[in-house]
Amino acid sequence: MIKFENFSKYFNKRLILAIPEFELSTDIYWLKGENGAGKTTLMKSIAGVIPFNGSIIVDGIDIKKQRIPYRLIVNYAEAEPQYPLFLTGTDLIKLYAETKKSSIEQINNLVEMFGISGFVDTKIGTYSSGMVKKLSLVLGFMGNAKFILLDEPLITLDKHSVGVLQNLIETYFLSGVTFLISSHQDIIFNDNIVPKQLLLKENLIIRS
Amino acid sequence: MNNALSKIFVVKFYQLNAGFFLFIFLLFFGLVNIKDVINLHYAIMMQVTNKSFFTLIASSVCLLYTIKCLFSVLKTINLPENSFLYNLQGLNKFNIYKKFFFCQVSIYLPVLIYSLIVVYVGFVHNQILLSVFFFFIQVLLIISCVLIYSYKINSTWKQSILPEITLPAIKRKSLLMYLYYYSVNNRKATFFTIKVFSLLLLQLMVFVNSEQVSSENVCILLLFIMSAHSLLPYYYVRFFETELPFLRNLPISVFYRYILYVFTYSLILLPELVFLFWNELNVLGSSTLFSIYFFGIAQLALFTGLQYLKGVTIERYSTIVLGLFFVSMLLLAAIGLWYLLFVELLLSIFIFLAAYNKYEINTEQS
Repeated sequence: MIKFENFSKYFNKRLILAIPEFELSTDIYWLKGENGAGKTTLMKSIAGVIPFNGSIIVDGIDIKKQRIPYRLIVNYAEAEPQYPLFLTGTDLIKLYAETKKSSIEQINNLVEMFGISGFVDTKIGTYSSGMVKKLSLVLGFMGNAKFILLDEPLITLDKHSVGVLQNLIETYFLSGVTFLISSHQDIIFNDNIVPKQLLLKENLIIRS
Repeated sequence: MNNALSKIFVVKFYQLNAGFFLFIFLLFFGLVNIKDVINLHYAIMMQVTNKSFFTLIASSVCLLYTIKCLFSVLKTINLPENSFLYNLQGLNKFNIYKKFFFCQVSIYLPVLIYSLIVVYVGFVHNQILLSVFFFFIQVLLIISCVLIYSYKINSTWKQSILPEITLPAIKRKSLLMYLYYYSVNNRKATFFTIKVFSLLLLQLMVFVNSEQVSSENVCILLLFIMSAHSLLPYYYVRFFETELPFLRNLPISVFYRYILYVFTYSLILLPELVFLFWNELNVLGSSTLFSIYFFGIAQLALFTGLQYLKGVTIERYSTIVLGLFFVSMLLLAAIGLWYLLFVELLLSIFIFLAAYNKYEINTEQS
């Protein structure tokens, strides 16, 4: 499903991550590691937000060789999303809908589930951090992703939205979507869904 | 504390406005030879202290620069990472005034030095009244800013004394227009100052010698104008890379991302094109005017592409803008406008396509 080949990431010549060969099959993965271990860096690399050495291949699609098809199947929701304050939630949803090829039905469902319909037409500058987080999760689930990266998805979320998120992850997973989630808070799934744990330690990724 | 305030307000101000200052410097001291520079400025200073009309114009220029400083400092205070500045509320008023006086004088220094020389020249030539008036204006502008900054720091629980200018919301915002919206929402002061300045320069050119204008003259003037505009590509790249990093996760081709910039430049240079058509169509012809317009777009596109090269900080960017100014001037004389336009455009595309995916913003400079 996802394959790393000679992956490495440096910041100012300091090695942050090195993954020579690594493969993950379709599943839910819980990415763990201490602060500064490189969890967000790994997620941003997989999402194509930051450059790196080596290669990442998802479902046979190489991030560097097939840039556009790759980004159609890999979605990313940031830990602390920030958007231009002059835009509205609707502006961003429409942008994602056009680029990620999301259906109206899917958008309406996500907007309804996260309860953002009441404020989605107002400028993001008026949102609380929890509202921005909900918007980022809606965007993260849009389109036909095969691989969704959720960086600290629970922070600033209310109890209802946590439940919605858990249900969504289960539903998408059962339809064949792989998740990589980093969270310092527990996410409780149904008994038959047990996330596999990955640990980032000393620049390496380890199955635990 | 003074050191921290200096870094937050003063150093950042000069870093962000390096292109603007370069432009002003070239305009004031680079247009005529060194001997004439002194005579020119001496004549200007004499006019300012001799005739009340010119004193008012000079005071207005000082006011414009003060507004620029004011917007910059208030914007900096409002940044989330600077919320700790409200701890200054713990100081007594005199101390707060002192600290902001230091900051304001530091960022106002270029105008202040020039103004004090004007006042000195006025006194030497016994133009006491207008010199005192002009000096009084300087003091008034500085004190006003200090009072506004101090009020801002001490008014977290009060409503702002300055009305917030918000532009009407537009229902559907296309990605193509994001940079334009960013300009008129987040960078209002910079954007409109550059545009007004640019049009004033063109007006000056028309006023001085509209009948003898050549495409070379307009191009050299355009190079000055583009140097002033160079601040916008800097802000635009920062905007896309820090406020819209998620765009890199969207399935959009790199070339389309380049087009987003070029489209915005073609939009923001429209006032200059309309102005030239209005005033110079008979002298230069539509083909030349369009080539001048496209040359402006190509230059801004090149400024954008160059920022994606590894290690281009704001300091290096300012140097590049300066270097490009002289190189473009030489090439303009050597190979002509259309060739230079295509060279700069192709170069900008090549650099952008090659560097975009390898680029990673240096968070220290964002």
